[in-house]
Amino acid sequence: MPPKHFHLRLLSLDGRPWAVALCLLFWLSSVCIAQTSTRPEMSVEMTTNTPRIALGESGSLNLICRNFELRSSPQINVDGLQIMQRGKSSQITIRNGERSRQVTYTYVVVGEQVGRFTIEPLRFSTGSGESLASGSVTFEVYQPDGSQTEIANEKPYFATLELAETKLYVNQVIPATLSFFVRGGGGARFTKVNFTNDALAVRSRDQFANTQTIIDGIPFSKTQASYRFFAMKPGEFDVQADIAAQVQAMNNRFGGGSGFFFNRLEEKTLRSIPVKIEVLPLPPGAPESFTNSVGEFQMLTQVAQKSGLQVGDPLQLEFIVSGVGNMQIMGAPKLSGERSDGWKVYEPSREYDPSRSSDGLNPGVVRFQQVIIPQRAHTKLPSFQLSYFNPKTERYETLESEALTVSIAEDPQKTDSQSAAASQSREISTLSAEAAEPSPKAELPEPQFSDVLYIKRTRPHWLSSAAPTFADSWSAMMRFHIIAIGLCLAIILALGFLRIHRARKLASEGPCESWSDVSRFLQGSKEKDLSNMLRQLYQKLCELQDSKPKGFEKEAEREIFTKVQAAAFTSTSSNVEKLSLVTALKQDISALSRKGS
Amino acid sequence: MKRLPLLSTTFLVVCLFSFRIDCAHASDGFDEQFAEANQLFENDNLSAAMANYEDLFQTGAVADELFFNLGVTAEKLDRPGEAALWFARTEVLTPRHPEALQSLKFLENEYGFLHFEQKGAASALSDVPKVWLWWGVHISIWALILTVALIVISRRRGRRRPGPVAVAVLSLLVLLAAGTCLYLLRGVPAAESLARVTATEVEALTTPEPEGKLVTALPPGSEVEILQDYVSWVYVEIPSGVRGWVEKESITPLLW
Repeated sequence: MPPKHFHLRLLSLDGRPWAVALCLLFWLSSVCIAQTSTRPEMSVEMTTNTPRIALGESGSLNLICRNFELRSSPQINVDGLQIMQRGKSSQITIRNGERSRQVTYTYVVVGEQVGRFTIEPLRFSTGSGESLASGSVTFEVYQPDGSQTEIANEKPYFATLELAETKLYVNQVIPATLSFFVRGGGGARFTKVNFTNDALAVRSRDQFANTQTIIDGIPFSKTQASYRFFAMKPGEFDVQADIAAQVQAMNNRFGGGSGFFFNRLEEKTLRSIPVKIEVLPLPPGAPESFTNSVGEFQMLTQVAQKSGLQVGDPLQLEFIVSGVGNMQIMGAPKLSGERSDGWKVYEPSREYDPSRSSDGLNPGVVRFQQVIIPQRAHTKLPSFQLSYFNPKTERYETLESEALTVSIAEDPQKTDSQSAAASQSREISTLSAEAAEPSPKAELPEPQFSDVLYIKRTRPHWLSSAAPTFADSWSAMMRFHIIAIGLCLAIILALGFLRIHRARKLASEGPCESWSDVSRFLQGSKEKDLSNMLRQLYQKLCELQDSKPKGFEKEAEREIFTKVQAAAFTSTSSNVEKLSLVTALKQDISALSRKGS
Repeated sequence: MKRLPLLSTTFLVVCLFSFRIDCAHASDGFDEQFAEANQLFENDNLSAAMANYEDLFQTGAVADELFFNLGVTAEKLDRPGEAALWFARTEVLTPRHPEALQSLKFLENEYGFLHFEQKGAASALSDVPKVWLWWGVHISIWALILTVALIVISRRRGRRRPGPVAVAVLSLLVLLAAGTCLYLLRGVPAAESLARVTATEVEALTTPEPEGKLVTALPPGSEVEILQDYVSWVYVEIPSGVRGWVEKESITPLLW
């Protein structure tokens, strides 16, 4: 623990004033460095969840300011749209110790006229004098068709699909709005939306909006989701969506009021009203650099390093393509045959963020990274080309990247080494083969997985159609156990039966040489005919007596013999008496048998 | 009693073959349709070839050749997710199928799909079907019971037989080995719960609803383990060790 007056002593003038000054200087500089190094980037963005709104209905507009705040919400005026301020929300995020703040100003936009209206970029000046500009946003206000009014009178729930165009080209992206109407309800939430036509590639913008509307005098809640889609093949199609939604059913227990606590969610599925579209094929004569994209684009070229380059140094080019159209399937700009002379061109990579892609109404951006290696000295970059089909002009158009000036010199070391290698090879060729050094070990070739293998044409070995599931195997194992147990029991029963059978056989046929044999005879004898059994027993006892040189010596043996003799030749005794006698004899003979063994 | 060892062996053999392990399917007409589909493929009529192969599969035809050709055709039709699924199914029928493995490697390089990778001993054992190990456990248990019974009976009769003792020791070793392998493979997902991403632009989300936050993008062909089913969504384990919700329609179970 430092002494309490440590700081006082440090600060006192008679202590070390230079140390105080040094500490202060260090602290100030570290604060300045920290301030400059952690200063978050400021930006402003304008977005909408509802690029298409019906005439007289409302959509939303968000102005998002990152890491700066406006003194007040700016007024936005556009003819044909009524834009009203709605509120402001802020959010603070700390990620990896870096704090960022986002302030969102929300506006309600009401369509007053049919047409397309663009809100031009808004410009702001930050406290540090920096000028920032947002992007532009376009709203399309359309005239709703009368089908809504007819259905609204009949059904409590219905859905409509509004498309920006009904006649479009293959691969042309158009925005679509799916609206789910609930009569007087408390809103809905989509759980699943499926577009029924396979010819369409649909992407959700993951943006939803809930509003209230009145159709033909009936109040409806309207849940909207924005989509963008394009058709992959020409033809005429019906576009409609299968929707599963959780609908907040009004279930007011008290018969009035808001019923806030008693609303329940019901799962509803329905299909939107179909919309017919005509998809036109792209005209023939596409340029070589056409990469399937349809729309209207601009291209900006950037290069990481322009000077101090030598032959063999890789150059990283970046093509930033922006505009309105299909960016999802857009390929990278191409370098045609002659232009690629003296350049080694690698496979480009694509940086595509679906959330920043164009929806067919508002612009988007896609970036391509291209690495090229000069194979000789150059002063200019090659010009890459990107062609697209413009549905407005109905023609193919080609963008060409800027042929930026660069300075690429020959590699002096390489040139020297190449000439040295050439002279050395000439010298080596004159030497004898014996003097030559052993060549380095050849590298093993790396396998190239450049494509899938060809189909198999051999006659298949057809199997059972069921997949080999573990449950099946498990039940097979259980069957195995049941059969094993069954077989075990069968074997035990068979062995027991064999044993009894053998005893009976012995009882009827075998010679009697010990009390054990007599006992076994008694166990195997049937008790139905007791008189016959006693006579047979008497015979066995006689055999046993004959087999012994001195006959029955023991008193117990003689007593048994006498009892059996009396019972075998007496017909007056009853069956009950005979049975009790046999039982007693069995015990006595068994006892003698045990003693004998 | 001299026939007991013979009886025991017969007993196990009868148990094993008293039910059907695998059966060849009646292949009437399958060969012709398969050849026709191959011809269509060679004539570059890929959609028709795919339809024919799929039709064969729908009518109950199952063979690794069919599954492999389905994978090749799906890849040529630019359906990488389906291609990966069919190659994986080929491997279900024939583990370590060389052509399917090579084609999966190509798809992995091309599309960067995710798949479960085992480490250590589990990696070496991952090709051994768990079912085989379970059979090993069950059969060795019975062999052990029978041989021990045989040894006990022989001893009571005052006889010493080396054969049953050797079989008992072998059964015990098989039981221990199979049990150890099953223990090491406990973390490997079962084939029943595996699925492949067959749609494009699939994203795993934090909640089973379209507005859920993104967990990760799943390239077509990615392997996932189904943990839970909820209406039209499934909760899955993703090979990178994270979990998320994906739409049921965007994935297809490995087993058909």
